[in-house]
Amino acid sequence: MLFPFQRRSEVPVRVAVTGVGIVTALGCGRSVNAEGFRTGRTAFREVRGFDVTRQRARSAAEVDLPERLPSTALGSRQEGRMDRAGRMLLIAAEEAWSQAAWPEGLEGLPLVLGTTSGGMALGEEFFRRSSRNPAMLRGQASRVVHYQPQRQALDLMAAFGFRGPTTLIANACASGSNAVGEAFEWIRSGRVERVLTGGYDALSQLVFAGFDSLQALSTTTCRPFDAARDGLALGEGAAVLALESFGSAQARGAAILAEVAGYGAATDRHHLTQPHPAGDAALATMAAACQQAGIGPADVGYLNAHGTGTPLNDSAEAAAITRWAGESAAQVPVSSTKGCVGHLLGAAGAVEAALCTMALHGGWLPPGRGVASPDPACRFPILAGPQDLRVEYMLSNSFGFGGANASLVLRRSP
Amino acid sequence: MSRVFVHGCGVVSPAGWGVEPFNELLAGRRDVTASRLERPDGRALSVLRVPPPPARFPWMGHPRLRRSSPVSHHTVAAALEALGPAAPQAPGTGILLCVHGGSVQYSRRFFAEALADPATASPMLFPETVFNAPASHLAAVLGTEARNDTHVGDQSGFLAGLAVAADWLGRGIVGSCLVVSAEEADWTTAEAYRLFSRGRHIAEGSAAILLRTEPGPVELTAITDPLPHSAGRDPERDFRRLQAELGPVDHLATHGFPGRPDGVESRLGDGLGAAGGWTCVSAIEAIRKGQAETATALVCGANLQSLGVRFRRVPAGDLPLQAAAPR
Repeated sequence: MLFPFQRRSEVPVRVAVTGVGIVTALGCGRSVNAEGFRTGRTAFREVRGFDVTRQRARSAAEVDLPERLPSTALGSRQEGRMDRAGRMLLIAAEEAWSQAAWPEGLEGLPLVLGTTSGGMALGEEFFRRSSRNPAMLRGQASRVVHYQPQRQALDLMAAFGFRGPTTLIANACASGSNAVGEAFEWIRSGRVERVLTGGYDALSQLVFAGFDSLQALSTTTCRPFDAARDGLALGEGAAVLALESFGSAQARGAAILAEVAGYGAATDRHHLTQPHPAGDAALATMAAACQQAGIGPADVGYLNAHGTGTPLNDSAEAAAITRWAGESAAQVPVSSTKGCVGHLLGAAGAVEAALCTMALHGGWLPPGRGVASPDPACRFPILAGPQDLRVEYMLSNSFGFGGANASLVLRRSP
Repeated sequence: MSRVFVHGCGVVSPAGWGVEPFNELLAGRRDVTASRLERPDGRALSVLRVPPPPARFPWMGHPRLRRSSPVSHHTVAAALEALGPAAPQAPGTGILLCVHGGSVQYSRRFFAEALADPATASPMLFPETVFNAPASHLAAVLGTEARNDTHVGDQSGFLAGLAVAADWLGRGIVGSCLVVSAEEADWTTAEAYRLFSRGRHIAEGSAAILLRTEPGPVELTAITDPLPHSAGRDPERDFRRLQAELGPVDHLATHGFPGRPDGVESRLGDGLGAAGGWTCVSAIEAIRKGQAETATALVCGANLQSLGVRFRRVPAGDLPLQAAAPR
């Protein structure tokens, strides 16, 4: 039963990350992404997937997908119908699934995913064909089916052989963090032992044109928290995390890569697209996530900011971080990795949780890019270059349209 | 695990704005007629639309709602009806919005503009295309900064949303929670639907249920595990399994099981994401009107899963005085 359900534990359960899969424009897989994020490599180029000649901005962080998908239970016809977003999700999921090496018998495994647009490119193609040649129906039914996020979820279940509850969160750019946070809460509250979670989004013409119409895209270089920043850069990708109770992971001798220790979410009702200038909801989510983790700002060794690079978002987040950290602000290194791989929208929070897991496990901090002169609102150090450092806790922020705010606390494995 | 009670319902449907026209339609005392949505080439598609409101609601003047799309209006209207006299201020109320298509009208308009010339596509339209725009507007109207999630799914999404809300309430994350499902009709959706279900109409509208842990006149007693369509959709098999799990009841409301006389879509059309909400409200209303002590809502979604929910009447003696009073 989804309700009422039996809790396996009356006390909060510690939540381990036992598998990570990641796809960004830096490449497919943990190894290439860890190297890229660790050194602060950037991955932007002129968009090839669709025409951008009439846009203000022309570049984004596009993923080069491999020709062959990893081997799963999906057949070649199923794979052939998958869109770009679903392929990225499947690659990330397979990597996480393999690393977690969960035992058999996961029929009821829950799946919690975040996305803003599912397989939007197929929806766009449906519209183009329907508008221009409505009598030509060939392939239209398949486009309708496969552009919806439900299809990508069902494909994952079919690929790995589970049939549990599915939750598809669409809280704009916070979706990925919300998904990881909800999955964390499923385990922490004692409902289940394991959850597969993550986020994914592919570049699409509609979304690119949308951010460009808002003049939110940088026409120069995306440089979060720089005083002269002029906008964000879009990216695409996916990340999947295999979450598991500590008890389960330890009992089967699994490697614990990191711990999800806290999650906070709140709503900024200031404006549909602009944050409250003082970052009230952002402050609330950071405080809530840290409270759940039982830590204060002085315990946070690195903060992965939402840091899109737009003037309003970064100044509001800087204000919120400064208020949250208080006297500890000068001791919390902050960076935004969106200067390297762009803003991955519904995938962003999951990708940033994945990179924090890799950084905690590997003992390094991911630098931001392009900060020549930090915004004066930043009362905290901006991490501008590679740094090897083992820290105990990392905080990751995600804020989206509609005032969706979410923060996650990740902890180094014991 | 905390018990969870229904404290109010709201509906916007092709029958009109409110639960009463919805009840009248289901009782056969009111009818709806299909209207025509025109495609760019002049051909028309038949859909069941929400009629214009009888009067301009005060909340329609809220700054957030001046440029918003119909799906946001449907969301707010159903939520405020469910909240009852507490509306429109409800700080601390969680929101869980479940959609299938979401803001398709603005998405279609914006993308058409972007295809014509992206340099002149309207920046007013794009923000309203995000799935969580209606939930964001609702939070602004209610003055709540509490947990607010938007879930994408099929017609069963509303029932899964009830389970999430029950979990939030049980863990004290929110003091009360509105579960809302909403849709708006567009020719693109109607055309897509026609590829799979010729001769049936899509419909637009919304439904909302207000949940709290304090006793109320109707209790949410069970939500089944989902039956995913990963190995194909089988309504007959799912119907048997959901009924077996929930047990016998006095009243049954369904969606997505062909040929069933209790199918809400036979009167209202397929409301997509809203349909799951309508089915649940139909079950709750049977209890509220004294027609049943127990009721279930069973939904077989189009492309994700099947789910069932069970409700029961709470004896008046178990209720505080104000909760026992009729809504």
